[in-house]
Amino acid sequence: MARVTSSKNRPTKPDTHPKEFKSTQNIAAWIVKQLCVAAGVLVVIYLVYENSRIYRWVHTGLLMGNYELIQKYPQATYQQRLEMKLGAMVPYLNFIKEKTPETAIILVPPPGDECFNKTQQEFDLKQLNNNTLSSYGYARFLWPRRCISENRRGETPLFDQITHVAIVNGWGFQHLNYEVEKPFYVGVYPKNK
Amino acid sequence: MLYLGLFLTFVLGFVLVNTLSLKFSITEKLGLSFIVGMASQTLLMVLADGLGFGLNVASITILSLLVMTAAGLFLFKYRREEIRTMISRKPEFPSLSLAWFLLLGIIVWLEYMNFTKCLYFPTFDRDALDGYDTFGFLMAKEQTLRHCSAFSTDYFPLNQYMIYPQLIQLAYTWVYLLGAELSKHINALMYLSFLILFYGSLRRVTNPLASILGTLFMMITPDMLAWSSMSALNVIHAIYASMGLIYLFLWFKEGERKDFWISAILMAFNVWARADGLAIVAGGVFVLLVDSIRRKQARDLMIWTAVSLSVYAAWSILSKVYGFKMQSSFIITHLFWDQEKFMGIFNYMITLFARSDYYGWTFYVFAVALVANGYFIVKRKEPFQLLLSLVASFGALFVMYYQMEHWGGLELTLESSLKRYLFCYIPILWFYISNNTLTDKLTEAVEHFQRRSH
Repeated sequence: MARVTSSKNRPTKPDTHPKEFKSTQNIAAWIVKQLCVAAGVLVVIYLVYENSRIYRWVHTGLLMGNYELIQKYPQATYQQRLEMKLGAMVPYLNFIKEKTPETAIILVPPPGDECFNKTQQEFDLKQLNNNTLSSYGYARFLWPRRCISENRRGETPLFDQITHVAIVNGWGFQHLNYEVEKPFYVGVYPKNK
Repeated sequence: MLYLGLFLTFVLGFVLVNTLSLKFSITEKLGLSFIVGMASQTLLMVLADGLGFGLNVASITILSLLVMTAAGLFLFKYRREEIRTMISRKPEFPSLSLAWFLLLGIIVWLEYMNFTKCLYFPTFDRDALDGYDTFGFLMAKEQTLRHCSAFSTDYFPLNQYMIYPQLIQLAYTWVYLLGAELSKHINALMYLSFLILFYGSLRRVTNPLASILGTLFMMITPDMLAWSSMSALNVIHAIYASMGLIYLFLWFKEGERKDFWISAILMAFNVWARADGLAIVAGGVFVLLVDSIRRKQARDLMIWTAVSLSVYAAWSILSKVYGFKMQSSFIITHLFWDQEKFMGIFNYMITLFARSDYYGWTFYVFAVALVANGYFIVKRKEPFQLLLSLVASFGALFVMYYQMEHWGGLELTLESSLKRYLFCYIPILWFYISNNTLTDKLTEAVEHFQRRSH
């Protein structure tokens, strides 16, 4: 009959894996796993980037493109940055602001009027996205001056109180109460002489 | 003064969120603070103006400080022990992986470029110059809401901007009052807060890897990212709308009352940002209605609906008292059947879903996730309420566009309005994509694989 030995007396195999080595092995395995998963994630990102024109555009066009522009002109003033988006409308609005008093009520052409389609030399007043400012937009930039669009004739009592007329590519002279000797294409005139 | 003022907004939101509950995670609190703070501050601005103090930094700051003091006293009286326990508890750091840090680095880099772009270019988009930014600017210059020239029909023609809810406009007023040259600090901080909040809400239901992957892909939705740095209201509205529904789902899933309340509050702000947000509210109401029938009690439905509609109802009454009006309503109030219009909207919606230049792979990945999880959806092991609220609010949105007059033509309205309205659904779709059963199993397996063995 075999004798059952208790575990206390059972001979043990010598420990060929000391604790420090096990711990080091675990850390190494953990690092390898981390690197494998990170590499896998990078592969996924790369595959999405390579196979999607639109996600590439998000990175290169939308974000990097604008970021590079910002890096190129970091000291651009507010006016200069506005001009990047609104084009020649910005110096035109600044001109009106300089030449009219704060109490002025200015007649402006209605948005989308034909006059905006005519360009004189490089002075194109359409915004980059082909929309022209409404009277809200004029009010935003010319405050406290008030701006009334020509298509509001009869709708607002302010129409009869207009003090100045915006001249846009020749539009506006018809609203002046006098003849202009040397008309210019873009500017602002008082309504009455 | 600008940064102090924005910090005040953040602190106001932080105190209010903690007053609601101390149990939100730190990422949720960080994300919610500016989002809740800004909306709350716009309500205080309406109050300040209504009480005759006008819109100025002093009156808004004093009211904000009063609210913060009241909230602080509440916290001190009723939550002192809880705060003490929270502070004394050792912070628990989740086990984060190299992959997670890599993805975080990508998000930080992309958002840095987006944030910089937002603050560099002034407002130029048409909607903002025709409405939101101009209204905000004029209210700041004239220091009044009620008597602002923007609402005067003697000056401006009757249009819908006059009766629009005023969250965005008043938010812009705040930064203009603080001396900012451009109002886009609001847009920049809102989107940043939103990214943090979205991640925090995902972490409530899934592992860090799925959460950060979902946040990244949601963030880079092309048209939504592009509009996040513009001054139009669409992305800000989408933040309130989507997080409102997500928190409603979290309440169904985890049963924590704080989620119910924050959901209702975000829904109220959703409609305060844009009246069309009622379609999103309809989604939440539908889900709560189904739940009410199942549980045979309607208390939660009534409370949630009342809170969601409270701000809009108050503004509707106030704008009538102030005499704000628009030319004519563009809602058709009688029922009718127009097959051409119906199919026009339906076909356009389907075409939109397929537009990867607007929404990236969002709708495609969502469709795959739905099909792949079909079994679990049928067995109700999926985030069922989230999907139900999506379907219901889509239906409400469809009805809304069907019952609208399209003065510029149906196609123009859909192209300009519906295309950007769908931003409200993008975060919800990515929330589902990151949190469904199969994604969970896959990402959990990866997380488990990369965990350290002992």
